[in-house]
Amino acid sequence: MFKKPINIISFLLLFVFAILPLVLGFGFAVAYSFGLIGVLNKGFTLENWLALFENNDVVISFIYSAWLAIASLTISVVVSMAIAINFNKKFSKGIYSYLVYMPLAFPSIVAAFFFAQFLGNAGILSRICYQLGIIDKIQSFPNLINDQYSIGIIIAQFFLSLPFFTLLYTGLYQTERIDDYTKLANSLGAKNRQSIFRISIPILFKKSFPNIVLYFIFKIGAYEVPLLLGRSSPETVSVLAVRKLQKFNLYDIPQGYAIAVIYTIIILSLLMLVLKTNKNEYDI
Amino acid sequence: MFLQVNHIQKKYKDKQVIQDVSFGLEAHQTLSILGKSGCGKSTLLKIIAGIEEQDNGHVLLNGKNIGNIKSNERNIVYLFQEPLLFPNLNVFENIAFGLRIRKLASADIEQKVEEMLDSLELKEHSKKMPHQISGGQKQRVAFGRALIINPPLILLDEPFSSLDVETRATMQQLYKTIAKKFKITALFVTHDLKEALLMGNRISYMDNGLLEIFESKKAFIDADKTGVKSEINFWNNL
Amino acid sequence: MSTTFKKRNIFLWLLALAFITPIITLFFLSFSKNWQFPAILPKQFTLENWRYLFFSGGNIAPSFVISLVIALSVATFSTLFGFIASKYIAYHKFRSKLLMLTYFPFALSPVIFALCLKFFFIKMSLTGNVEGIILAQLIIAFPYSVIFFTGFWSQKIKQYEDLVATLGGTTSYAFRKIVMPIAKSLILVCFFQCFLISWFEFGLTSIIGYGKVETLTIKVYQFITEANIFYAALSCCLLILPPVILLWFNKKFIIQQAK
Repeated sequence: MFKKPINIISFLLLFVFAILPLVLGFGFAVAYSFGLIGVLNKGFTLENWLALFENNDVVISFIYSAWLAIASLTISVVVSMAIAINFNKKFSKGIYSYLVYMPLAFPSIVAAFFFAQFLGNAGILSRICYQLGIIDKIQSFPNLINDQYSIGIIIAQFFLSLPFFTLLYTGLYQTERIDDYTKLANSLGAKNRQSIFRISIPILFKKSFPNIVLYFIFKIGAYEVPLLLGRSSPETVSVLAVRKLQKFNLYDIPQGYAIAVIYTIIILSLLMLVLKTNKNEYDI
Repeated sequence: MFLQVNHIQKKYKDKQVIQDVSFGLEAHQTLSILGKSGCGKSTLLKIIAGIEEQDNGHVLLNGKNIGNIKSNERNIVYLFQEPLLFPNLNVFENIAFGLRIRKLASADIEQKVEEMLDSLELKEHSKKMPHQISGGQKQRVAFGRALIINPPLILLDEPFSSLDVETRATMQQLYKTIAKKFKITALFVTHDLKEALLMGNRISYMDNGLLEIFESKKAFIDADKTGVKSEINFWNNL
Repeated sequence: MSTTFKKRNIFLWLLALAFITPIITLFFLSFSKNWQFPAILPKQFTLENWRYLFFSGGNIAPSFVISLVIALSVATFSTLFGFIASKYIAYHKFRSKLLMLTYFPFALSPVIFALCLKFFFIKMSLTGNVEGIILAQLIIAFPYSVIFFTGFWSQKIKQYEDLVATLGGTTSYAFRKIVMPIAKSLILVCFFQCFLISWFEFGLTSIIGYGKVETLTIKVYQFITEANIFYAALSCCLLILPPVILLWFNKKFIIQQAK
């Protein structure tokens, strides 16, 4: 196994920077949530877990996180597919191929800040509406951030993920030779619309499905955007975990770690499913 | 015998890829090894080249056991199925590669490479990058790169299988000429019956990890398992 | 025909607008003062914000430098380590299992991961300092780099190495003359990506850094919580600037490679 020193170094690197942190972090969270360690530990107990499920907050938080991820992903996938199918050439070179990279230069926190300034009650959109006479006072502008429907979060996440999917689909469009298939379908008598819905979209969707799931996995843990643009209830998993673990109520800490344990198990199982069903790796 | 292989065995996981292979080869001869894919012929070549390690057996070169010599010190060149030209080097530098490793003087390198380019009819391509030349030309560069260091033994692993029929025929002719000119000793692996007959001074057949050398071309043709007979019958019965 | 043409153009214009507006807005805000509702443009454009933050105790320059030092360190270490470790994984008989293990830390939310590891960082006195943040960010960037490079170590690269060996070259010769030149552009791309992972990172940094190490993202958050949108916008501009330059070069670079 370790014929060469470089192999020992490689293994140590993997162990120290990837495997060990995972094991330590997860082990610590498990131990803390069962009362085995921590400031208030009294030995093994299920108390914290039972307390956690006394109300629906945690379940709601997970569903809410998943919903936000799905909503923003759906819009991104639809728009970027439309781009790939309609404007493939425009986006593979020229000015648009540069513009589409723009959101990649945005850290989540900057995107969140921008959308707060853009969509907020006193934001740019609201001012434009006022100047155009669509609204007559600040209060008439609908809440788009920290709002009931999380519109601000979804838009910001959509903005952040659009380049990723546009690049993915314009790439797939070429490697999967969608143009050729479309021509073939047309020569067999399909109308443009039919070949788009029966050929282009199914191929693109099938090929990108693993990437979509991977992206979903990343987005469930989103932190900055919901932190700045979300409401105090419901909260996404990351925001909830941070609140439970960083605030001063010591009784909340074991519950916070229990949330981290649930989150880790869900994410890792999902990940295993994707990687198992798709033997080949993905470019990231 | 120049090359002597004694009782080589090799196992991957639970598959015995090479059962028990022994044979000898005189200098300046080419031995064809015919076999279907997965019969263990590539593995055999890799063991002789030192890229893979055998479980049992010995490889002797000029009577000397080379088992403990690392592949880069064996002087045996293994030519892969694909030409595998180094994509970052041009044709000239690809051919010069082995000489640069041996730290020859620049003028020497220049002269030798020019000569090699000449005999391979590649002169006008010397400054081109690998992606700018055709499949047959690539394979010729790969040959030149191997021949220029004057290796005592060359191992060819289906070198022409990715070429089209015409180019393939040209390359086979070229190989015959060059083998004579440079007095090459080689093992030539192929899955093509005709090629096996054409290229080898001697012919062998490999199947299921076992290798059989035929006494003569006639013996090869007469044996049932090589498939020559059924081929002949096919053409006769047309 | 003309209506669909119009529709297509409107769609394109909207997209272009969506890509450009954020940068322009942030840039303008960083030079603004006095931006009362319902005015679309601020009453005053000024250099005051930049002057204050850079020269009069606003402490933005140190943040920029700290962020840069952290990101460059993380990018260097993770690219180097990832390149080495990925080879080990790629040719390992348990390749897919090891690869899955590397995916795990990469897929987890950095902020939750940081919360679970905070205890160990405290024990090692690695909270609230730059070293701690570099180490913590390495834990997310390193797996990225490993996954990135695993695809590089193909059967073909192995064959190149074997070929060099049979031509008489040592492993290190093969590495210097063949493997490195082939991998060069990928290494550069990975370096950029890891740089960005670190440069963008907020959640994990805030937890391991305790807010004491004021990277640019931490500054942005501080200004937002202080409701100082002009300073926040300015810090945002500083955050966006390097990636914009980088992506521009990187893309150009990729296009040139493809040619």
